[in-house]
Amino acid sequence: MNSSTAKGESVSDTIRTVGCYSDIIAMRHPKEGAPTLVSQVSTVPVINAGDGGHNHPTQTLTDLLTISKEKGKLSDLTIGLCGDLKFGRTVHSLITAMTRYKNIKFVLISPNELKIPDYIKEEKLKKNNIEYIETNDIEEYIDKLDILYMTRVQKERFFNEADYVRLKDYYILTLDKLKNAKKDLCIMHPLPRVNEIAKEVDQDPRACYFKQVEYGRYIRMALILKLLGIK
Amino acid sequence: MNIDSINNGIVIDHIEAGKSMEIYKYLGLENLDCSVAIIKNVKSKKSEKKDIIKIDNDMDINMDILGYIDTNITVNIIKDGKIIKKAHMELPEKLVNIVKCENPRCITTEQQDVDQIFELKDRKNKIYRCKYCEAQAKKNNSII
Repeated sequence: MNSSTAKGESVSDTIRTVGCYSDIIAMRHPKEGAPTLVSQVSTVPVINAGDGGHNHPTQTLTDLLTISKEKGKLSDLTIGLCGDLKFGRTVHSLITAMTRYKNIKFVLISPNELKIPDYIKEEKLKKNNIEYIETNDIEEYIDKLDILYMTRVQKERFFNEADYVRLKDYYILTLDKLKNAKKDLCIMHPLPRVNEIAKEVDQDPRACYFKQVEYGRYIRMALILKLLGIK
Repeated sequence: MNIDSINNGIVIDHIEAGKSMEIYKYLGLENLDCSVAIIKNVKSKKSEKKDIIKIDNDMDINMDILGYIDTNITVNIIKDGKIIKKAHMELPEKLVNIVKCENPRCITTEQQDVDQIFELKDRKNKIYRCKYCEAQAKKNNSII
């Protein structure tokens, strides 16, 4: 696919071509909205496997399965989202999905430069009467959280490297920062992680991010089976 | 000030004062060969002042553009000196190739052959979003 793109082929033509060789296309693309565009011309189902800083729906299916299995429910939860909430596509998709469930509250933890986009606040949170708080401090509300969803500050989203360097280690979750957290807190991360969760946290029973990867395998298998019509 | 009435053509009336040049550009009226009159700051009963555009020729007007700019606008189609149709504007559900998405991360900035489509997401607040990346259309977005 890379070689055709390098020759100047449009993404729509690439998808039409790949569709002749495949039953399903899973597409990860740096430009936002690319999967929506190609789904209009594709002859086979297209899975959005992440489009720029926009959405990441299969990660959200993974996250929903993780929350459901680890907490036993998808409602009555206070969810902390921490890190790059501006470009973090997994966060945008997760908020959209969680607006369907009852009594969900969000604590949005980010530096001012990486706050959640206004349209998510207006059209997803406020429109659905979802309670949320914005803060810069990871420890301020940590005792209230049922889920802490950490995200990486993504180098590829910045046009200016100096901004990335300044913000990349803004949050590092350590055992000390977790001292006031609930005993049954579920710590999630879409991975890959860089520095935002200290290695020492991996041994804590509240760390769910590697289990989350396993749930991701099952949910993607289920999605592929569904699209292929296999029961 | 007197502007001749037209026999066959279009009168775009009740334009909010000051917006006539914006409409002139959006509709591409600079490309017309016929007479086009832009009358600014006309006294109005509905509001204190309004702008009017008179086009001395038949042409297809993109009503979606006018509805997007201002729903108070009316369009009068004139034939043989008489108004044969008076159209009132509504907010269009969709803007196709009217404004350009200015999100540098949007697929439409890379694929030049793609229609620029914005969909109405919030009628009350007149919010349109790019069909692809969901970026909001701003009034200062480039005109296509």
